[in-house]
Amino acid sequence: MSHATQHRNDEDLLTADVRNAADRKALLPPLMPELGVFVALFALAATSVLVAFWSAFGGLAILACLAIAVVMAALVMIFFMHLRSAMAVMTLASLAGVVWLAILFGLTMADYLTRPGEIGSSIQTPRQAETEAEAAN
Amino acid sequence: MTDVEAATIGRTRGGTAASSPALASHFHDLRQQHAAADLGLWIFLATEILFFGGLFAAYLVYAVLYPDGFLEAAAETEVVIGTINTALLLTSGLSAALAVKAAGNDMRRSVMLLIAVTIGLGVVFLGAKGYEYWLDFGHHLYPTSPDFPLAAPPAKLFWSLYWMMTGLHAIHILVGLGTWGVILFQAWRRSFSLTDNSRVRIAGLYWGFVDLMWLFIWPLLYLMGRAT
Repeated sequence: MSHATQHRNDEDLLTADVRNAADRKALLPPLMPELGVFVALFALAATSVLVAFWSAFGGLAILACLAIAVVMAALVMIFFMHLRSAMAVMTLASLAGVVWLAILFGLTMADYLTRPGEIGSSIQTPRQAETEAEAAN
Repeated sequence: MTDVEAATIGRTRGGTAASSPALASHFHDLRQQHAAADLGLWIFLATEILFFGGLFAAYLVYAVLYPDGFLEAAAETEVVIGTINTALLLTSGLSAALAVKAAGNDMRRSVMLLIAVTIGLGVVFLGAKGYEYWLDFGHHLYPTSPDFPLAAPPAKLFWSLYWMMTGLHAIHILVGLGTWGVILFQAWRRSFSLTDNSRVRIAGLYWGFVDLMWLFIWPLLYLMGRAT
């Protein structure tokens, strides 16, 4: 941490100390930007419901809903979980979970999607299928 | 030099921190103390993402293997209750975020009010969830039921995942409510200084995470299969 930031922080703390008592007894802190983000989240949730029930998408509507969910999750993390004002190391820690999740999904699907035949028709590994084909010959 | 003197010198280096009884002796200043608490919780949340991630991965595999069975089974969940619960959680996410902000501004009354609102919304969420479980039981929508109403075998996979995912999430809500309850009690008893509001902020982070998981559980279990 630089000395300048340190100095600024100290000043912030001091300002907080002398802030008048009435201010501290107020019922609510400043509502922006959290309230704006909340309205946006509600709008996105409503869009998600509309998309889900709109028959034009059919079974693929879920992909659109999940894309909306990703945007909502980003808003929650940035504003409600304060990543906006957090140190970079917090953002890294939060992304670490997502990266490992991607590895979990990626390697799992790398298995299931590369099995022989139609998806879901076989639990054989490619090697098993090869051996059986050879035996049949 | 005695330990006390050493500690005093250490604190004096931290500027205003010297005047703050909230600063633990092993931290340089309050900013560092806050960052340590936040980082610890973020690392914990990364493990929690993977905890839920196993269930999401199972869902992904079976939804890819049996898309039709999953679409049919998902259409049976209580979408109205699920959507109301989404609204409740988003609102409680707002009140929790504001509680953290109020704690940073040293507004004890506001912190207590906002935590109480958050707890209230969480309790209503659990109530709605319980009612939904009761309806599901009435419809025999649990995999071991002899009267399970759906013909496709993968439907049972979906409903296993439904109970596991919503159950695990509900447990997290319970833990979050317990945490908020303790902090509300402590704030009321004035047993901690808001100058060190770490506990309010990490409870807020945890609640945010519970919100996040629901944002994905909701489309996967409730919005799935509605258009077909």
